[in-house]
Amino acid sequence: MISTNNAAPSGTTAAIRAVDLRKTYREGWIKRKKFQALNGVSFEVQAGRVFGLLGPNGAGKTTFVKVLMGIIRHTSGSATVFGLPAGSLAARRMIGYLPEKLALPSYLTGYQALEYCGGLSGLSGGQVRAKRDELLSLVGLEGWGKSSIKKYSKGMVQRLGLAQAMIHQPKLLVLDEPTDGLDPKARAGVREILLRLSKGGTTVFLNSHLLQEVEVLCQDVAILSEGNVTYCGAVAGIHDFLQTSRGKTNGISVKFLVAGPPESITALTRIGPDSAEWDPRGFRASAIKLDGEGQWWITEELEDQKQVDARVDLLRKAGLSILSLTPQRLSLEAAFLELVGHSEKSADVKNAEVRQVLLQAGRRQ
Amino acid sequence: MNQFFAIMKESLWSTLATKLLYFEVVGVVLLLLALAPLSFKEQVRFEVVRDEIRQPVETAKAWVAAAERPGDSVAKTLWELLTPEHRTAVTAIAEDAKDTEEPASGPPNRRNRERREVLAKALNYLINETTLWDKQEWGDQIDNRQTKRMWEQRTTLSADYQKRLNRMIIQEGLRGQLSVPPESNAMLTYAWFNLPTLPVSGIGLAEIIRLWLPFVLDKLFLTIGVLLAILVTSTAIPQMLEEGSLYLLLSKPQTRIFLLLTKFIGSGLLILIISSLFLVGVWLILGTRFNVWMIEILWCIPLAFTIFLVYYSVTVGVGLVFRNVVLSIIATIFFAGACYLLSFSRYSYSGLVAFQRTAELQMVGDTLARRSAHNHSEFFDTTNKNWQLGLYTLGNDMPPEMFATMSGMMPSLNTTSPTYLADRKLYVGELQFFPPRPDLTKKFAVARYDEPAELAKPQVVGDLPFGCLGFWQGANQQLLAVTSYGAVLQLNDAGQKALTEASLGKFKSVAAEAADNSPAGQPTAAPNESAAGEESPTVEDPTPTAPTESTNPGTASLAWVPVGNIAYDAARSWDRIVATPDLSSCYSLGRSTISRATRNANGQYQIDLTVALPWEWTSINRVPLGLVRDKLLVPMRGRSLAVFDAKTLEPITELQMPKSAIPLSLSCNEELGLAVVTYTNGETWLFDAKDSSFVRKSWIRGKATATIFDSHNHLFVAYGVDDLIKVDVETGKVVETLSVQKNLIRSIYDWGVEPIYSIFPKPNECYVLIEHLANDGAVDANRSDEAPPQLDIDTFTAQTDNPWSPIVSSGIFAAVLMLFNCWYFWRQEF
Repeated sequence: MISTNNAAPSGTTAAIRAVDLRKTYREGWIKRKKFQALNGVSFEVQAGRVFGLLGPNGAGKTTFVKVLMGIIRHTSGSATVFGLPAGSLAARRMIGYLPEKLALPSYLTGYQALEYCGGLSGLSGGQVRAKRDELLSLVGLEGWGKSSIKKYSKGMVQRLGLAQAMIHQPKLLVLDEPTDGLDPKARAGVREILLRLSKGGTTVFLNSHLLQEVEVLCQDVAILSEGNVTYCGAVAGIHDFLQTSRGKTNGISVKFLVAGPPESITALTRIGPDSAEWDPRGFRASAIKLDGEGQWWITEELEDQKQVDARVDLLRKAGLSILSLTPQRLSLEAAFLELVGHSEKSADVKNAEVRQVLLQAGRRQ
Repeated sequence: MNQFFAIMKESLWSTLATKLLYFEVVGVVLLLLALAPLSFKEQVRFEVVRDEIRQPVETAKAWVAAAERPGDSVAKTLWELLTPEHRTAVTAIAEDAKDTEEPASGPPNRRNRERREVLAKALNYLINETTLWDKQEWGDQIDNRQTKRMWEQRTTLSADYQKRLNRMIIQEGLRGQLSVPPESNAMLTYAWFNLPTLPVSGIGLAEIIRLWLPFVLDKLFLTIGVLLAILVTSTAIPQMLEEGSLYLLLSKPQTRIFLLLTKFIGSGLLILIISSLFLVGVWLILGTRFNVWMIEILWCIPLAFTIFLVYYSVTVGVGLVFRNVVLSIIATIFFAGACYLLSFSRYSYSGLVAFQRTAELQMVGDTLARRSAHNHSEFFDTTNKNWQLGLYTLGNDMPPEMFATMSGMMPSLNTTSPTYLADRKLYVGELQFFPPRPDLTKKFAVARYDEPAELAKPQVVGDLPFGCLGFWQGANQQLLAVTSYGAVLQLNDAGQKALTEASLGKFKSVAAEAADNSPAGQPTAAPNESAAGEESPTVEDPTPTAPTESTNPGTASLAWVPVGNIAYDAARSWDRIVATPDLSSCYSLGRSTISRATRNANGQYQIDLTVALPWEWTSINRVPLGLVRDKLLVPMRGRSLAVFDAKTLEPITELQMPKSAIPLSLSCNEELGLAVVTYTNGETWLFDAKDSSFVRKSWIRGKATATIFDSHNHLFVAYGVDDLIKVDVETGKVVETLSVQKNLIRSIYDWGVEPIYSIFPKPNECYVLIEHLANDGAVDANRSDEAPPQLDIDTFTAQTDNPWSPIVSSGIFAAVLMLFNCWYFWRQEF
């Protein structure tokens, strides 16, 4: 799989740019065992966009984030943040980071935690005090500033973590599972904040397992698998990408909801309802599903608009009422599964991974 | 800076989160609050206590006799002031001849106790009930200057001090009958409560505090206190390394090294604040309440901080590698234990080898001999390159008559006993006994050193009543000995014989006669010297009243030196006397004077010149004098070598040294006109009489203990334990290095323990720096009459160790370890 081109327009600096980034972990007693976590990752995150990084466990997402934050050093290649080397002090000044398993010292209060993190980010105590209430209010923790973190729930700690990431008004927010542990309402609140920030020009870089979340929030996405980028581009373009990768161009998937007698449906098929033969004038039986009494879903992969029009005519001619006509695009989850599934792994592994992804997706919902 | 303060604040909150800190802070505050009301009041001592009356019957007799004597006296006036009942009671005691002796052992005499009570009652009546102090006749009758001065100010004294004056008047009147009590006792108070009175005065109490405080500071505060602080701060690094917390920290715009070092210093600063609070509080309380202002307490503040950082560097290192709080605490405690163990091993071993150090070198012909610290006399075997033991040793084999005299007590050879090797004979000048028996005379023994049988049982040749201070051998093999209390003896066979025949009284009478006959027997100016013949209040004169007949002990000649000069000052050290090579004169150094005794035509020594020193003299025990080219050398404790003209005793110059030091030994070479002085700080200095120059020499890397010139004008320098070098002093070249063969244990120590010790951190020994800083000024400033403790070769080791060494090695260790910790943290991938 080849990643699509999402290079920044000329004249702008990408918020994040990775070029052939590689990271090899050495393990064992004398560091002979090697594990390639990043295998030549290259992509860009444009400034002002909300970008999602997806991938199964062990894909290299966390490694990439750690390289970005300077927590680990890459083996080769390069990564930059607004043109500055990733991990450098200057780069880190521009980043607000929310780690995955955030552990703020439980003996601190909310205010103290913000003062601590704000101070570490270079803010004075006065500057922190000026904005701490507003921040806490923004993340839904108003009135909790003086309470010890010990009393916070997991979700509250997460929100406090988000607040500390934003405290110094960074140009780039790197969030690792930002909605982890949040209820749907809180999650919606976070989404709102992130969208607002993005509109304000802040670049948001998300690392999340919640595909639905990413689909809603992110404009661009990169999918990592085994240290390689299998897709990088707009979320909306993933369907076309997959189509292209299947060898199809400009295909349209359409879903009809029709109502009518079963005989009309049967008549649509040339040989009978079970026939799988393709008849340009007919419909594949497998594409027809009953939805309630007298209503049928028909899903078709058509080449172009002309064929769509022909199909409409055919259905009307068969005496069926067209209740709805919906173009079908591939969901991110489906695309993710397909992309991840195309990587060179055994079927068992593939299935296991897919099961895991689905399981995790289900858990987070 | 914002990041720095953010980490500092978080460190503070982190330690506040541990309850231990609360205990520490609250404990410190409570302790200070508890100590603050503690104080003391001086209770003036005036009442007579029963046990202060020495011999009640004697006292009563003396009093009655004084009362009956015609003429006025203090005792008589006191008697007249007594009530008739008291007089009757005292008279009854005086006339009661029964049962007056105190038993040698067992409970005291009950009758004497009762007599003392009666006398005490009578005396206390005079003290409390009378205005004894206000009598006008005291102006003529009181001799004691201090009492007289106090009487002159009597009207301005408080009531308690007037009673004290009463007591002093009584002391005057019954001279010698009562022990002199201290001026006051300290009564402890706590807020408004009176606590028991202590048997010491306020000054004594302050001295006790000064004595114990170093132990408390060193062992309790700087060791246990610091380890407690480690407990409080040990969680900082492991907590920081928790995944969720660490990633957040590392994502912030500061370097890892900054992060680690700030955490490190931050914990230290916290401890610094708490320890400052405590120590400043203690310093203020001790100063304001007990008048004990010890700068050492404040010096402990930076020292505690430094020691904490040393231990904490270990805690941080283990915490970084293993990320485990318990392990880091255990490792730190083990490290502290290892430091103590190493110091203890070194100290123990040093104590063992200290006895083998060379205390004194002597030339016996061309043979080099030495007296070791444990008083073994040995000579150097040049073939085998080691010291051959074969001379006088500590042991149980003493002459039978010694045992008889000692009544079963064992003698021990005092390490300051001078021994002398001359003509194959070993002269042992003084044998002291333990426990001390003042009634036993000191013996003077001689033996041939190459006859083991004779050495085992040296021949006791006579009494030496005052102890021998030193020996000199002149060119004619005549032996000159000087005893304490000033007898100068030229010992030949006849003189030795004379010694055996001489008695205690004879010495004194001859000496008194010599003093009377000497025109220069009185000092020209002696501001601090008490008058000749006057009894010193600090030393009891052991000699009873002597018969007045004179004697001529044949070839022995005597010169008596007045009390206050050579007498009891020099009694503590034989070094303070030096004689000319032909023994025609000898010089002695007193508390504030120098005297010269010269042999006259009759062969007798007489004091012919005494001058006062132009400065207040520090009475220390060891002042090795030197005489070279008519210049008398006096190495001062402090920073100089004083040079006098031996003919006139006029001061020529005072040669300065950059550092304070205590002189250890001095060797002179008349032919070369050179003198070598060694000091307890290990330095060796060379004096050249030609130009009166005084320069430091670095012939050896170790610490020189003793030196001696041989007949070829080479200088032997003993250093280390028992090693030697031979130096050509004129060229400054080392002619020969005579390293003694060492046994396995010595080799292991020299090549293993000592090098490890020198580089290993020693946070447990850092207190010596405080003592050095506190005392260094005292050495310079202290030229008044103060007698420091006896300096012996065993303390030489401690004296010569560089006081900065422990803190420097510890600081280097902490710095290196923190460098490693920073590198490890920087390199680590999390």
